[in-house]
Amino acid sequence: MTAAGVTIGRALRHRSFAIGAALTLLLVLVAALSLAWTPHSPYELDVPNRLRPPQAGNWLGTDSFGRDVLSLLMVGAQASIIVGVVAVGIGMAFGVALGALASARRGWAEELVMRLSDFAFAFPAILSAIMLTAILGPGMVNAIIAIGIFNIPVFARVTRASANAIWAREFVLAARASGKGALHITLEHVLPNITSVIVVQGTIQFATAILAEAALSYLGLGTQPPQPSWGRMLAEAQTMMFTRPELAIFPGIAIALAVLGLNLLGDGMRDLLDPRLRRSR
Amino acid sequence: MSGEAVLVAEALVRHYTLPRESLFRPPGKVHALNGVSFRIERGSSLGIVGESGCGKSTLARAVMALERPTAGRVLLLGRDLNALGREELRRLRRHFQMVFQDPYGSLDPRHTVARIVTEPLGRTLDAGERRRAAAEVLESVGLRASDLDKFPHEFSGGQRQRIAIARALVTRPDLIVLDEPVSALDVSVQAQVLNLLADLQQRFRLTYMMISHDLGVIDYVCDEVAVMYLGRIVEAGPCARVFAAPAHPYTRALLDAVPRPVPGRRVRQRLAGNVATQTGEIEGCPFADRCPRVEARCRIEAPLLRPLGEARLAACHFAEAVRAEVP
Ligand SMILES: Nc1ncnc2c1ncn2[C@@H]1O[C@H](COP(=O)(O)OP(=O)(O)OP(=O)(O)O)[C@@H](O)[C@H]1O
Ligand code: SF4
Ligand SMILES: [Mg+2]
Repeated sequence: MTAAGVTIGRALRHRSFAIGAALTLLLVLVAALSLAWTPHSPYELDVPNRLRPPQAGNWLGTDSFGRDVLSLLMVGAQASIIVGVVAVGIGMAFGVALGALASARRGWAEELVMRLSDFAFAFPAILSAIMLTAILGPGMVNAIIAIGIFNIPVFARVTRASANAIWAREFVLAARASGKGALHITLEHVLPNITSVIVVQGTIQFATAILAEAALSYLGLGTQPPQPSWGRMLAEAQTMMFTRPELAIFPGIAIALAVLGLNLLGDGMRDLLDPRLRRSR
Repeated sequence: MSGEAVLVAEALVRHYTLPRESLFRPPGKVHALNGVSFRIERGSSLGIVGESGCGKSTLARAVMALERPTAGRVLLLGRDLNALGREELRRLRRHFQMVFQDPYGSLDPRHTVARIVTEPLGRTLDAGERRRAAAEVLESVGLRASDLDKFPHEFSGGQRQRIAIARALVTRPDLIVLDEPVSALDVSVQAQVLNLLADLQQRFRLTYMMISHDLGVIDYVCDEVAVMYLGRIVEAGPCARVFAAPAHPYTRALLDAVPRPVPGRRVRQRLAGNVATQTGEIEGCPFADRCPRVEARCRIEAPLLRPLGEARLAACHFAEAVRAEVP
């Protein structure tokens, strides 16, 4: 299709979108590759070879238990992606539903949903996630639930705001005049017209979720050993901060690149999708 | 004169309460409709004219049962729209359709033409029947069946308005409400769309309620006209008679504001002020502040909309004298 061709061409010329997409793709590819192959097993402890500097055989060196750092980073990407996808999925599913409901019903339903999300917004998301995992107990599943819950209000707000704008459009009035109820209007007119906004928000929340997972794992509340995770790698490297700084630097870079990539991707998509909406108005 | 009434509006009133600006003042009110009554018979068409803000769109939304009037009734085919249950109203909706002003805003950019055009059909037909109905109705507005799978942004403004008209036609409705159907279009395209509307009316014996601020548009398509001012009808009657000899000073002022190449026409009278929305109760004639003929009586006694003969109505104490004036 020519229209799609033009869009892809334009997308690739958009710098932050291209860089963001490349970094995100790299993250996904690394995680996928690590399912099939890593240079060494990330679970294999090799104490005699501990704390080796980067060299052939261990491209990024080994940690204090002699595990291969590159392999740990590769498998660690899995935890980031799983937590990101599931937590954002939870937040999106409930948040979009609540936001769409608030927008369709207005009145007390809107008031209730928005006051609840104000309540959730009153605390920084990461702090809330820490609080919740402290209550639920540490572990990856609980980390996912905690991060997911605090994504709900984010999506609820974005959905409500953009859905309200759609509800004010004339084609919604036209749909009402032809007998459509609020549910069908939401499903057939409102949601299809705000998907781009939600996808952009999802990308950015993905980055936040990766950061939150790293933070929780760093504190020992998230992914548990022996499952590798970037946050825990940071925590373990902490004691050797001055003797072997690269042990903290490598996972730090991994986290930074993943978060940066997703944010650039989200920003780029927002840019690319906006003028299209303006043009087809 | 007494054919079958498709639409009857009875004393429609619609007041809006504005959001409070201050805790210490009562919330503002807008009196968008102040008792509007009329009837439209099958096969005829009523034009509604008036300045911006006089309540034309509010009237359209009330007639379409998109908004509940504060008081009064809307009877479609004899049934009170606001007394029907939700499901009954939904089933009745196929009998009255609407074409909106902005063909860029009234078509969902994410839907194909086929989907847009068949939306008013609801779930009554299967996929094949819907497609056939859509193709047929597209052809009747001068588009092609090959346009069915395109999206609105692939069409020009005039073509989009044709799509909107096709959508209104698809259920073979008894009444079509048109709110400024050509005012968003280029002048060159307006004529084509008006021709189409006039054609369709003849072909399908449609009944229109057409809103416009352009007297020429109304004159071209409609048999009857109702002139609105501050949420009231101030004059109504057959287009030819009303435009030839207006009986209300406001209608006269509107006509005078239309630049027309009529030789020997007297100097245009300007309409002073622009109070086009009413926010409280008014004593006397609502047009008094702008009326060139105003007299003391007008400020005390509100003129009623009264018959003048020749199927005409006007709300002015001096309607007969106004009508007798040379244009
Ligand atoms: N939902 C609403 N809430 C408050 N005020 C409203 C609302 N809808 C319309 N109004 C007000 O009611 C008055 C009549 O509005 P309406 O849209 O019916 O005018 P109109 O004759 O269609 O004007 P135009 O030619 O500009 O379309 C205006 O003063 C408008 O501001
Ligand atoms: S009643 Fe009086 S003020 Fe009102 S339109 Fe007639 S002449 Fe003018
Ligand atoms: Mg209007």
